[in-house]
Amino acid sequence: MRFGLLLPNAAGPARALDASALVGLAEAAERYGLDSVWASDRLATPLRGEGGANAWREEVLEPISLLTGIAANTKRIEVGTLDCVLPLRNPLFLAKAVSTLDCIAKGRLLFGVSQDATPGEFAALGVEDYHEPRAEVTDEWLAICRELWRESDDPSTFEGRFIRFGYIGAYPKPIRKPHPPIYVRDEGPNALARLAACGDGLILDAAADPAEAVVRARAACEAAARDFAAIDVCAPLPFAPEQPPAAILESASALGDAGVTHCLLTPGPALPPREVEGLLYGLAAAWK
Amino acid sequence: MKFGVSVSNVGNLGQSVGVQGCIEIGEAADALGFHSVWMGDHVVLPAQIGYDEAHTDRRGATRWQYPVYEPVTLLSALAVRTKRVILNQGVLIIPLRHPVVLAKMLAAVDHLSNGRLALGAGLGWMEEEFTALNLPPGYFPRRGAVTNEYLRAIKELWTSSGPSSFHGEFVSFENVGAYPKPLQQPHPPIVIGGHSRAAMRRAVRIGQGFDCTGDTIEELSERIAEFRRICLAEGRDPEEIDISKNWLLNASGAHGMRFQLNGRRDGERQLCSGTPDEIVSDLRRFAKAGVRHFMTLPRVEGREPAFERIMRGIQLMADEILPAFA
Repeated sequence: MRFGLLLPNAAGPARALDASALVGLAEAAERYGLDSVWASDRLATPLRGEGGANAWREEVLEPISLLTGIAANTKRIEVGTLDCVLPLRNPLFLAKAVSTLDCIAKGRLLFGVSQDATPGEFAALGVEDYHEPRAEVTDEWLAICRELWRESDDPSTFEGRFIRFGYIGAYPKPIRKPHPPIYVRDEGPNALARLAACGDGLILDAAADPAEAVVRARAACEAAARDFAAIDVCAPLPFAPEQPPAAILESASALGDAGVTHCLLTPGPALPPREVEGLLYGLAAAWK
Repeated sequence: MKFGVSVSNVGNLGQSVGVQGCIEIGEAADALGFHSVWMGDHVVLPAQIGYDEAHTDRRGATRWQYPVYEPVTLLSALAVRTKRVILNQGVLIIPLRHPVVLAKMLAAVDHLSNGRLALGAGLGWMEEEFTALNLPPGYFPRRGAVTNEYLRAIKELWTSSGPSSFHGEFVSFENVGAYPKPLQQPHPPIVIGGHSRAAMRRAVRIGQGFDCTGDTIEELSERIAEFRRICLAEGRDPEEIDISKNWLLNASGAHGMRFQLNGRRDGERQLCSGTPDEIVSDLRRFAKAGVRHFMTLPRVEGREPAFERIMRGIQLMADEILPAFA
């Protein structure tokens, strides 16, 4: 079982955002022997009632930027985007930013991708037309990334449904070969097909029953002749002061029995980074 | 006079230095008392570029295979690995990134750097890059108007205290929550690059800095004088706008100190070449022309890899040039 930490990179009226504390927390996670740190994505928080009355006040530090800062200050721990919403970003810019992050991380990036955001977020980014076909857009953006990351003596060319380009150079290439592992959010049948087609990892939803989700994902992979044993299955694990380290390790073991290979410790949104570090200290002591 | 160092993230230098080298150059500039670091920008390099000879590679090499480490991303690494330097760009091509994405990522950089971001803003010149990014066909010919509008949208996202709305010809959004805001208030300085009257007006109307291009001191001097006239005509105090000059330097020769401007001649001796005293006197002429911030890339010529020559150049400049302007 591997252990990761979901960084509390979203703050709000209840807790001020402290970017340096988040970098410090990731450094602590590395010291305490965790395998990975993750950051979630929210480019815009539209009003119109989506996500609750105060959702627009939510402060989310952009994950590619935050993880790049963390990668520059750590040596061993892997850094992962939990749910980078692909259709909201230009795919050529996305491929270059992700590749640059993997270079700075010396190949330690886990590229977690998502197709989902609210219609309001798509509109805010000027891509409302992509909301309805967002699964197809996401698949196409991943194909563009793989084309731009490919080592080749020829310039890159792409003919897609939404985007086409010809004869361009996209360097640097990522350090990890053939490219950073792609982690797919379990967002329904489209996402499982994506996992079977090009995924290296699966990120389960907190609300899902892990055993059931693993059965579905295994079936999708087997139908596409993909070896499910090679997929890193990640599941969130609540990380709160009320839970003693022994109980957390017990829950992790139960997740392992369900087929999960990577627990993502998920602190509540109101918990400041300092307190999360205290929980890591307790967990590390229990490991020894 | 303040000085900045290029972290060399682009082209054959970027290839030679590598991204870890870019970060180490930034750390050295930070430790040795430079004011700023800066970097270049391209999202893709077209394999066939219809631009003039000045931009083609000397050896006719496969330019499209040169790396460009993505500057907005690289800024975050420099933010955590440096303590004091201003994080500048020379320049970001504003039309290439959606303002909501750019404002969001740059706000993160401002937080990670504890408020040291400056946004260097330009229009871009490579039509193929706009085409490859699938920007609408009208964007390249109207890139000045796109840039003006995008910068206004970024300012709205950075400064509005409630949800942000913007309705323009090229970008529109309604009731968007853009948090966190940058740490710097009211917002990080915007530095406009260029030399045309349009660039000068842009700098006067929305900038806190003007990065003036020009090949000779005389040309620069005339442009800065014109810029000051435009400032006064628009009711802005020229002294509150930081005027910078973005210029690459080489250092080489018997003294180990012959700074050499890339390929451009100013009489017998190349501008910014020669002994430390000669270079200092050249830089005083830049200062007299009105340049307050000189952004450069000091390099010692020799057979060592570019990274070592740059690191020695930075050290030499810190030892021999900076004290004259302290």
